Amino acid sequence: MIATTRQLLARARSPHSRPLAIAVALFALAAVLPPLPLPGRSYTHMIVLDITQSMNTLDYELDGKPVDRLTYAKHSLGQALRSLPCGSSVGWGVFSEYRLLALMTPVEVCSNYHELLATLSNIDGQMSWAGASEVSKGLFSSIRALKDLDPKPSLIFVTDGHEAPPLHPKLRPSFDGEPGVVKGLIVGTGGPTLSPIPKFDPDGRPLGVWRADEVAQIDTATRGRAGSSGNSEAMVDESGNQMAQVQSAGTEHLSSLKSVHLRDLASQTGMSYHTLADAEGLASAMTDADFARTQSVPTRVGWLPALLGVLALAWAFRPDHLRRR
Amino acid sequence: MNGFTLNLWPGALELGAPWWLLLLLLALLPLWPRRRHTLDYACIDWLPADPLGNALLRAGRIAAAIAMAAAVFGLAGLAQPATEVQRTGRGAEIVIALDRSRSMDEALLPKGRQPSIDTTAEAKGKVARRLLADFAERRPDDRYSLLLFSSAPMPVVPFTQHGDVVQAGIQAGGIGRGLSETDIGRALLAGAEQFDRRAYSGSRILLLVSDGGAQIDEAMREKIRRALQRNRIAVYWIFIRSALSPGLNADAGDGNIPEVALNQFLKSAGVPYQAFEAEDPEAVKEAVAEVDRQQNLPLDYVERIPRRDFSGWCYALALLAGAAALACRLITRPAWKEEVQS
Repeated sequence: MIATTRQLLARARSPHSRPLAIAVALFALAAVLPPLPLPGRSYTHMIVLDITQSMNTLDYELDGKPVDRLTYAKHSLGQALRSLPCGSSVGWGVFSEYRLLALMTPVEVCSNYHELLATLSNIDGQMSWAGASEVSKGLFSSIRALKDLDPKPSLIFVTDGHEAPPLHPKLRPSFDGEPGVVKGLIVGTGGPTLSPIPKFDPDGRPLGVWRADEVAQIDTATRGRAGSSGNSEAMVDESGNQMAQVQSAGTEHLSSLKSVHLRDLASQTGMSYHTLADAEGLASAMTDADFARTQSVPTRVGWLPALLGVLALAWAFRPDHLRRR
Repeated sequence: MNGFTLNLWPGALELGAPWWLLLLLLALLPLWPRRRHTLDYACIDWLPADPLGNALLRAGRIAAAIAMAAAVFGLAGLAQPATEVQRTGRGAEIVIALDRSRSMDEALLPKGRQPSIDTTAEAKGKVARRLLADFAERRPDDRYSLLLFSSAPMPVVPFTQHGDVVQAGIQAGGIGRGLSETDIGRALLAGAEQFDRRAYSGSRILLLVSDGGAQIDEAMREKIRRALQRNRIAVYWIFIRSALSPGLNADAGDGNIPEVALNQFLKSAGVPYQAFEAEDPEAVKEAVAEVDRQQNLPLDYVERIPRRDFSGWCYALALLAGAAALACRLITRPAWKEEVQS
């Protein structure tokens, strides 16, 4: 009854046993194949959140309740972090006055996810060290600060674009760097219509909303020296002509998303622009191929032979009616 | 890290890619009753019963089903999730309060040298970051919390054992210039309050890293004192001397020198306190040694056990079962028309 070696070999080669033998070989391959370094995408983001007072404007909704822009942005960012592949890193910074304050340089996102969320949840308006909100300067100086880092992160700048004091339409801060030197994304937050801005004292107690006479309604160039010394001397341009005076709409105490301004900033600096609507949209904007760097990531490849092995076994035991007679 | 994870046994087994389990249906194929060994033969009644052959046939099918199921579980990413285990070691919980004011951007000059514009000396903030990074690296088992301060305290990292996160927070100070104002009083209070409503586990240290003192009004002093005593916090001050500062131990007769005043106040706060002057290259070693001596109460800490992937073991099981199935098939004689010659 015992088959001879020749018989066994012949049987192993027979169409009856061959799929089984192939499956066994494939499982063996799956079991011993080490993770191979394959090129994979990863991201290094420095995420900067605007923490100026206009970000307290309640024009988003979360779980049916109105929430402010900063809270909504933090919520969406926390969700969006999950979509970054392991090996990516994220750092945090805040923007206020006219500058960036880095809180944490980028750290790996999968092993430090909870720490990253804990730091994100600590970010709030009370961290702010000054009242002004010069978004353009803040963006430009952030780019300057990040361009020398190694590895150079991409900048995710989350803001509503509300400049305080307002900008003169002609005398804007201009970007003197090379566009695209730091890749990145401007994330615009806020609603399309003007809403009142809640006001807080330094300890975070609410003080109602900002009123029209409490904020600078006209830009500093138009105001000239009137702001400081009480005379009405106006600014002149290079040829000595008086600068165009800007009529203020008187709505600087209200805030909406300044998407035109932010798109303009994005094109000046070679960044992209995304309007924050939900976490999924933000996640796909943050994982744009433009920001990705390819590096070899140890990738498990055992699944491929294992899957083929399963299919070979399935073929070996396929139902009778699929079988050639 | 994305995707849906199925917990098979909470905390012990999970599936990283549970949708693959749909392939388990294929594993039923070998068990399906079939007619495949029927023979085109008129009468089989005279054939002898072959219980051994039948058993081998059945065993082979079961083995094949096991092989497929095992491989499918491997595909579905069977793993032990990352778990955390409470352990008790020795160490401390340390709140680092790091000054981010603009004065920290100035150079740290040796005592007696005049400040000048052209200086090759290292900036104070850089010295502070180097010292802190050094400190955190030398005591990796401690739990750190990082608080930046200028005019307002900014909690950055709540208590964590992830050294890289602490280092990232310290290194972030190197990006951009410092902020314009300093309020050490609020920073000390915020640092002490980090321990509020926190179970006492391990020694507690507030490590202040700053280049200047501040006059703190009496009401604030009282608040700080109470917070320090309530939470039983030892204070260590790594003082980074400004140019022209007389140092901490100057004659404080008139109390007008802010850093001397702060030094005096902290000495009288009723908690263990020690100051280290950072221009001394041994200062950090000294500080670490001091902390080593004083602050090694049992510390409850969490050890993270990383996720263990079992898919390799699943494939190995699939290999064994598949080999068994193959063996069963090889030693049984198949339907005779298939075995052409013997």
